[in-house]
Amino acid sequence: MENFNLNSVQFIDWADRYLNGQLTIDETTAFENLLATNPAMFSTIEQHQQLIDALALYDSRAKLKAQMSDIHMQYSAELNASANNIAATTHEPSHNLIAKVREIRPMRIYLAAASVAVVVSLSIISGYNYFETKVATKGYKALRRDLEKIKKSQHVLINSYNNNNGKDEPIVERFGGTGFALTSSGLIVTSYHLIKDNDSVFIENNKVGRLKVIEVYSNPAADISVLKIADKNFDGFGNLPYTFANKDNDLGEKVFTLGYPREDVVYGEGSISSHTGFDGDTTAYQISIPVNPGNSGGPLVDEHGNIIGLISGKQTENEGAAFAIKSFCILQSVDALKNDTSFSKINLSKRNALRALPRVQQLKKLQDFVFVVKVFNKNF
Amino acid sequence: MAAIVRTLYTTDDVLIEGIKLDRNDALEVLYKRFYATVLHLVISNNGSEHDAKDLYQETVLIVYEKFRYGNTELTCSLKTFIYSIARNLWLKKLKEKGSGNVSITDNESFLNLTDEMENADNNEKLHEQISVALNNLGEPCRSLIEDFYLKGLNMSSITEKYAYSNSDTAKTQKYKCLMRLKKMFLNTNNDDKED
Repeated sequence: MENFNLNSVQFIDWADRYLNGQLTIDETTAFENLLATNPAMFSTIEQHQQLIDALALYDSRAKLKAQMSDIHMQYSAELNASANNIAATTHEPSHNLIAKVREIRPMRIYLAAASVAVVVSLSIISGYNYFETKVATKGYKALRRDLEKIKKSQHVLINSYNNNNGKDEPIVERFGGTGFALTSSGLIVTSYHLIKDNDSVFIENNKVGRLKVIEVYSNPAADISVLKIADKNFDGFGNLPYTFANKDNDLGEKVFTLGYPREDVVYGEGSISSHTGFDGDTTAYQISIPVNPGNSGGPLVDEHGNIIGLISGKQTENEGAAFAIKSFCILQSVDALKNDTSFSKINLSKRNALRALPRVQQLKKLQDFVFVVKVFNKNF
Repeated sequence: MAAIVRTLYTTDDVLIEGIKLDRNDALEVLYKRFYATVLHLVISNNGSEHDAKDLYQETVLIVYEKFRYGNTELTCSLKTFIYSIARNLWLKKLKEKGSGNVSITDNESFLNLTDEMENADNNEKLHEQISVALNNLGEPCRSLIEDFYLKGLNMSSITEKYAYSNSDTAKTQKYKCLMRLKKMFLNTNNDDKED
């Protein structure tokens, strides 16, 4: 291209074609070189872009306003028509909207009052929590895997040469479950019932290997614990591919989990069957995923790759019913943890890299952030 | 035949996706779904039905601009988000009316949304500036600018429409109009800063 000498008119013409993507590749390169070597031109094109953005804002608002006023007219007509059909007691059609809203108001207040009453009575029953908390009762089975039992039954086969029982019992691996990354900096969330009374806890998966973790926060009522990697050489998990949902998901939504009911990671899928967990627990979902001991602490994920819960247990007499603690409890735990000054800067992932992926790809990404949690306990 | 997929937009996520894709039916669903909430807010806090309509449309604009240009993460339900924006705007309007201590009777939970409101304020100022500039621009400049930058007419169509002798003349005219617009736009900007 010949020496680039543009007058002001030509420059704006080029700028418009550049911003519209109408230049050829060669032209684009030449124009970008020009901008790179000429700060005045660069700032001119920046201002130009701002002006075009403002024009676009103006245009978008004008269109939206026109659309909204159409919708509003149509909507008022619909509401008036339905109000007239129902009762037609009012002689002022234009006030039907208000009348309609006013009608629902006493009901709302009544409902609000009723829910306050329920919360109060629940908090009296449970004593220390606003939410109805699950108590360990028969019928509810926490899903930590009793490794020792499995080991023993397996060891029957290979036990013949290893018979020096007695002195100095080593710390034995007692329980296994699942946990998943909460932050890229090395916090992991899992079930409290899994790691309570531990002597030491490790996490393990194919990506990070085996790492020692320490418990940094536990909420027994919510059955949530947060662990932190205690390995000096650990330098982060990398960006988490998922986000944490902060609202309830809908009944029937497809959900899935990854967990370690055995030594290898296992995938399970199903749907949300109820907004409440065992015995009406409002902090949990009932889900139709077949879970086994060892699934405890695993992530419950929706189709868009949002973490919506943490697998907690299942009903013993009913095989189909498993439970997961809702993600807002995890978020509450994060908030509680933030009170601790060394964790005040916790940042949860805001980018969801799973949203648009097919399930197989979602699992491939997710797998690196789900760990087997191994709990060792001397005093059992 | 192109398939027209209709969706009921039952969840917030689907609705937000529809808004981002600029679908008219998504706007309609959103508008109808949350109107009563804002209407209730306004009429139970010294406002009329007319005030409610204006306030609601202002709120929906802000919601749209957030999802189109801004950060699209929601930290609450769409309903709470819309209620919170409307509440902020209504509080501001009540203060402007100047009736001393202003408080709002709430029937929904809400968030403060400081950042969102700041963004909305900036967009509002920008919109005010560009509107003033466009209104003062005069014809045929305003039409020419709108035809080229908003309606996407190319230079040869513009040459034809405005009967310029050739496309170079058209380019020069466009440039002059643009410079006038820019000057007015930046001037209102400076006035604002001095205020």
